[in-house]
Amino acid sequence: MASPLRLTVAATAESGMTVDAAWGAVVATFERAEAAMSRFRDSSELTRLNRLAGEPAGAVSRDLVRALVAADRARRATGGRFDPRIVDALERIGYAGVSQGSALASGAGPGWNSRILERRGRRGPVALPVPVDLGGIGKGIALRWAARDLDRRLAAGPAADGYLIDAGGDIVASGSPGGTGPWTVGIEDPAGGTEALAVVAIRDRGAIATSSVRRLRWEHDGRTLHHLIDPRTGEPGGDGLSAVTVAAPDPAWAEVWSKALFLEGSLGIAATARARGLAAWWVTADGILEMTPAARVRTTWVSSEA
Amino acid sequence: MTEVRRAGLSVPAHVGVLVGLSTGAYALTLAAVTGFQSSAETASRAERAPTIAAIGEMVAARDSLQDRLDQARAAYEAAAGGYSSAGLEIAGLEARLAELAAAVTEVSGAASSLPSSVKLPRVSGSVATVRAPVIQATTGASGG
Repeated sequence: MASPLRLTVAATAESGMTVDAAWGAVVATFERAEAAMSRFRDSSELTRLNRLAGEPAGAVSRDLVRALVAADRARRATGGRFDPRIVDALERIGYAGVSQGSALASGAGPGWNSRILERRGRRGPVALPVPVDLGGIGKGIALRWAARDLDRRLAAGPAADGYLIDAGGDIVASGSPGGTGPWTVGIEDPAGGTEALAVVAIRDRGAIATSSVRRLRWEHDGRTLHHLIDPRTGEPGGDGLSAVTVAAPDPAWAEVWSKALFLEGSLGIAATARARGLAAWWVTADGILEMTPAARVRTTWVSSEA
Repeated sequence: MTEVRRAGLSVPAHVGVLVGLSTGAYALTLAAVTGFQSSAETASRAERAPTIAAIGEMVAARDSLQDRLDQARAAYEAAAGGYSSAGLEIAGLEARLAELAAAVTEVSGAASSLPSSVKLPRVSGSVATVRAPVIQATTGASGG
């Protein structure tokens, strides 16, 4: 959340969607997502719900409920590797937004198999027993909403070639950049090099997301820390890894799996990624780029093989 | 004594009885001897029967053994033939190894006659650096 946005549209002059209209739609979608899900806004719905410490909220927007349900589904699908109930851990290591309340206030602690939100019936009041951080998955969900909105706008008029939305390195793309060929996305070098480590093709429709410790690292109590918390330990995880990138049809799932695989660490990531059939690339702490077979077929260029 | 007068023949009766008695005795003796001989032969056959049976079994066993020997001989001859052909192949391989050894010797000899350094002519031209293809975006960490 709160990431720089960039929109690239490949459209003909006869397209029913102007670039300005498309940009306005994307910005509005992300604003809507921030208002619902941001941990860094005092006025966001999520901040209000987190501060209730397990008490049911009177009215919660459909956007936030959908996001919380999606996060809970991601928790189950990843076996608990992805779990947004890490606010206390983030604040303890110095990565704090506005105050979200604490799990201590509600007396609840997350067992990985317990649901993230409580709700009586499909329309009953919603409660969060433990404060939740929707940072990474929230950006993926916002991209999902923005892409669907652009799809509707493109379908309403003469066909456009395609679009690409970049939200701080999480990307969703559709169509092609100029009538022929796929969108091409570079995988950033987490060591700070200017050249991409590899180039990936997105054909027709797809998303790509990266979890990395490159930008968010800080010193706290004499330790070098980062923001990718392992829910099992409450500490920064991903031993032996610098960055993990995942390509998937949906941007929210690309984000979820990039984080879940990162927390597998360098010893477990290959087996887990292959077992799940994921298109994943990862950079070890030694700077070595590795990838699954599903990722290889999408890779059009590798720096180390050039 | 009564004389029996027959035309052309005059044989005293006591002679006839004696001849008849002798003939009968002979016949009886002959029959006894024949019976004795028959019994003796039967007993002899009975005594010889186990031996004859044993001889028959030995003949059958010998025939069976002969069959097995014939089969073993055929298998041996087949194996001997395979061994012979393998020997021919090995001989062929050894010949080829000898040829390779000769070729290696030639190469070594030729290599030893090469100069230790060769001056190459100047080459002018441009070296192309392979760069990453054009990309529309970069995926990386945003800290979100």
